[in-house]
Amino acid sequence: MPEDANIAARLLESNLKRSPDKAAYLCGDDALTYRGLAADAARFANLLRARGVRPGDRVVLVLPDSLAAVKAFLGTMLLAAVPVPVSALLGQEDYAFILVDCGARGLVTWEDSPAVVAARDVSSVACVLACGPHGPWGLADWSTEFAPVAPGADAPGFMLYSSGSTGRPKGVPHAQADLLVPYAGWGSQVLGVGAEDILFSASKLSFAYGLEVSVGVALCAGATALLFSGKPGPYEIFAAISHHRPTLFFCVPTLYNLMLRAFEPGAADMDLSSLRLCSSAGEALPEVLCREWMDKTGVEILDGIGSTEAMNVFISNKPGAVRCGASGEVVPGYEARIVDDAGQLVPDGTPGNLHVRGAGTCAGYWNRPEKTREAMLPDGWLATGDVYVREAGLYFHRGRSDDMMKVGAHWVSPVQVEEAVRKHPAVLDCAVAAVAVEGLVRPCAHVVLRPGQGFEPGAKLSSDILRQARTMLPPCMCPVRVHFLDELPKTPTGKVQRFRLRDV
Amino acid sequence: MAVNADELRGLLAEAGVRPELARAIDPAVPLLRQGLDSMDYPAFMALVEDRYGVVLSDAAAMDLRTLNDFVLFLGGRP
Repeated sequence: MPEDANIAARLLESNLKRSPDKAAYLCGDDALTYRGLAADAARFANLLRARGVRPGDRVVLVLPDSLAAVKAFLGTMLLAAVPVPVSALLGQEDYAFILVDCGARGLVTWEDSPAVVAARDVSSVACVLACGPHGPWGLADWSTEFAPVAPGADAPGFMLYSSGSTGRPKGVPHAQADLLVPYAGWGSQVLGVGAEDILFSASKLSFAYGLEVSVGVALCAGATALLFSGKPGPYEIFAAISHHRPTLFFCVPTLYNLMLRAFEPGAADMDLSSLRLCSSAGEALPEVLCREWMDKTGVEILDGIGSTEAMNVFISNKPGAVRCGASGEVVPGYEARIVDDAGQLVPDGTPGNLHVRGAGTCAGYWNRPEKTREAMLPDGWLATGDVYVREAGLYFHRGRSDDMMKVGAHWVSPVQVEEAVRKHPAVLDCAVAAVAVEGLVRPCAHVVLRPGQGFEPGAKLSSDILRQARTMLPPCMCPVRVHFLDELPKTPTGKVQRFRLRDV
Repeated sequence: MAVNADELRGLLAEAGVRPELARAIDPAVPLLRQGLDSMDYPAFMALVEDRYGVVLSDAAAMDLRTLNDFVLFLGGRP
């Protein structure tokens, strides 16, 4: 096998040679050197193989961000099996769906996680590994000798799940080599990441943004990455930054908003002096938030846009040239085009559908041929679903071409929210569309009341509808407002036109 | 309109904050230090906008950290 065919092996070996005793990862009070990382990744590979995991098998990882999580990810890749990092905050049903959908052979999670319960009914799962913050019990017993396996052309290198318009997320497979792309363009040329940097992503490893930063960019640069296991609230994040002194911080606008609100310049546990740059992605960064952040903290914030399908940020602001309210310029290594619905290029200043092309993009969804046809276009172009306007090389976000919303950097489908809202006895019909609160997108429920039953539009009924929806939906999907109307805007054929209800 | 902290505590509960948490909110301490999370806050902000007919989209809104800050902003007395 060519020595660099297994990308996990390549990244581990090059860092082991260059700086074996340097911290690869920090988590809480613990540090993991590159030597320790290479050793434990190999141990993980041996353990998985002994438990029946073969090259090409999917291994679902349901773990908080931790040293164990990166060992598991890289160890699975050494074996040329397919790590599938999934959020640690989902419910049993969500895990059951993903385990079945990807035909998982292995599951690595904490001892009594809902994923363990879900796995009991999934016949493909042969290996369930209970894992603590440093790895599974007994990991140290396994050999650190492991000959990396060349990844096959047929199987993915790793896979992430991304939610869509129906209730079920879709698998986004990537080649092992796609992990090298974020550093090649964005990390090195836009952010200037070097080995001396300490990267801190508040976005978790189960998201493309978190994974590309904490594994892709960090290992390619030979830098140190800080992992945060808990729920990221503003005060906890400030404390982690003050304590560990990262040089780059990666986060999403909804959390930047809270951090800015919480920020007290000069407070000892809010020392941002180590930061040379902040990066924002996951949802559009509001212009006011961008400006206020830089004014109050003195640290530049670079808005950018990426996707799970690209496994990278493909349009980004540049240090020293931030344009508040813009996503920035095309990142080296990518091409972008803006087209109308007929596929024709539109001139500068005219909104259209953003397509991007570059190395490392997903070639097709896992078992979703129709979705693949919609998004993965001929000649390697990816339809992002985002509407953009370009002016003098700068790209400005103008919302989505579909009805999906990014709320708190999570995909929210109006369909799912509507189903929940419709369950309220007062609701005859409902459409959910984006509303901006402090410039950030939130779901708003537009409701037609059942006539003749004494339901009155007003604050009391709104509260009741929102309260009931909250019992049925995860937090980011809960509507923040109810708007009452007499009828929903529809096409002549009766299809609801949600875009006409947007208020952003 | 005589806005006071109690009224805003009620609004917090309406926004989805657990009633016992909303009742215990100290109006002089930042809300984010008292258990409000990244989804409670926007829900609360949206309700404040609706109920008091204000728009919280500018820089001034960033300085609203405590219930007392909100009371002052809305023209009441803490």
